[in-house]
Amino acid sequence: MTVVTEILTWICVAFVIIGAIPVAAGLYQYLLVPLHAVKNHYPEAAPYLPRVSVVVPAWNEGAVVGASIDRLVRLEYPPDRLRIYVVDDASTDDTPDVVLERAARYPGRVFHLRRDKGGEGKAHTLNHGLSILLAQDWTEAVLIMDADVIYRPDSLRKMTRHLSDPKVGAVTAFIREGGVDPKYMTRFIGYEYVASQAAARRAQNVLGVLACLAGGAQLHSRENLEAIGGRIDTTTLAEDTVSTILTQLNGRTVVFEPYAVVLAEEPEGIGALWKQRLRWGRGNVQVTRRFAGLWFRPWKHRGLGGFSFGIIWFSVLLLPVAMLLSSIGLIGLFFLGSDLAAAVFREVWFLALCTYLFITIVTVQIDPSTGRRSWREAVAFPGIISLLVMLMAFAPNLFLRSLPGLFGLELTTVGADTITLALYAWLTLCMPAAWLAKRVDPTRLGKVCAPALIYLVGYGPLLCAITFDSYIKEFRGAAQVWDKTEKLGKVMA
Amino acid sequence: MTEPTVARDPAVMLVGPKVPDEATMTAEINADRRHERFLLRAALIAVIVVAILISVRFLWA
Repeated sequence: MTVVTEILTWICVAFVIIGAIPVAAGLYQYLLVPLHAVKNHYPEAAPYLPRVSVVVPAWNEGAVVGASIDRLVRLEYPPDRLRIYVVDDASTDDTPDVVLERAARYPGRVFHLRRDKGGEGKAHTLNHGLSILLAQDWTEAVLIMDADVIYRPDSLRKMTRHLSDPKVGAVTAFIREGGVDPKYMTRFIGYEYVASQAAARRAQNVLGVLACLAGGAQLHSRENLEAIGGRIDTTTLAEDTVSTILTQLNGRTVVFEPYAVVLAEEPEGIGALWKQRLRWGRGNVQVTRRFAGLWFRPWKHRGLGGFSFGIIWFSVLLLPVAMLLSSIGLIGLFFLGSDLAAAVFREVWFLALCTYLFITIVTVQIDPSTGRRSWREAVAFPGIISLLVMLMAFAPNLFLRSLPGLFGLELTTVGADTITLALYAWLTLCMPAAWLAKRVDPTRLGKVCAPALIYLVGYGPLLCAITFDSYIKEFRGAAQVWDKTEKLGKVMA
Repeated sequence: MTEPTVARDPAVMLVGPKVPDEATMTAEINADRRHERFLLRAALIAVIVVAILISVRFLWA
């Protein structure tokens, strides 16, 4: 082996190892989840019912806002300590009529605030409401929510109990997918929310640092809101994440309350999901740049700047890059004729299999009803093809020799090389395959082909493809549009 | 949980579900805290499955 070959070999090995970091980070994060049994905020929580102003930004939410208000006034919360402010962002539908009717029905509890010029996005709408609320002394805490979400009766008081601890600046709830007749995509999202919120945010509670307050359920103490400037960030597409980070930079804690459940309607098609997640993905890129001096600097901020949180944050943000590097590394090793290729491939994908099993088994137990409803989506989350790749890494001889042998087949060298290269490239190829599902979705074939493609390719790779698209859009400086996700008001009562 | 509660300002009639008393809410916090122990059981099951998988691979190899 020449020196150049040796150097290239180690570069390729390094690429594969870097590519495996998000898998290891995922496993690390979910290993923290059970620690929430002993390390949580409940010992500091106490019954506490501050005067809460609920801010509901609404732009053409006539179909859903009335039911949301009705549910809010029925919360198990002292009526004289709860006010609902719907900030109407110059809606052109019947939103003002619906809200004014509710304001008349619930006098002194529901208020209609209207912006004459709208369309600037949720953060601007919220700021209009916040400027009015914070000008009065009445408000002790502010609940920021979406117009379409449904709060369970006990959810608000389960959130406020953490504000009894003055060190806590904000509390977020568990946003649960709540569609009445969930399609395949909403079932995927339902499972994803349990994994990424009910599980992962418990792990972040254990770490003492939260990545993001859910946009539809964030409760701030008045002191916290004033400390972060009394307004919501309008410069990025991830205003919730900016509020979360600013809260923690100001020395206050952010707590995830898993027993405060809020039901939300989620996109049913790939196009709507892509639009929503592209906004989130671009927002995360913007946030990463905005707080560039924070990451991996524990001496600046012990939690947010810590290595644990940094690795978790960048593992999500840079997952498509990691997948690309992993494929390049494996294919490079293959063409260098290194025996390491097969060994490294086997170890990395076996780690992925163990991680997948651990995360899936923990997640379905955290929310058994979602687990029952979405078990197919839980199994197919990484994609059926990726599952086969994992099994091939687990038992290569079974798949490449024994099974073909049962049918009297034997793989030729060319055939084996082709399959091997396809396996190595799959981590990258799954992203354009997911993009293809998005392209097929609106066509005539979409009704059958798009779901089939997503189950084969995986929901996880679909999210990676969207993240990759967010890099492209940010790099090209594409217009920053705050697209509203269309909701039909089909959330479980 | 459906009994009406009366507003502090009698000029405004406020009706809503009854809010649990302080003792009930404290008990609820303790119950939620205790319930979190289910995470240990969930993780144990996952660890056992993964351990079986690793053992099979090790023995097979």
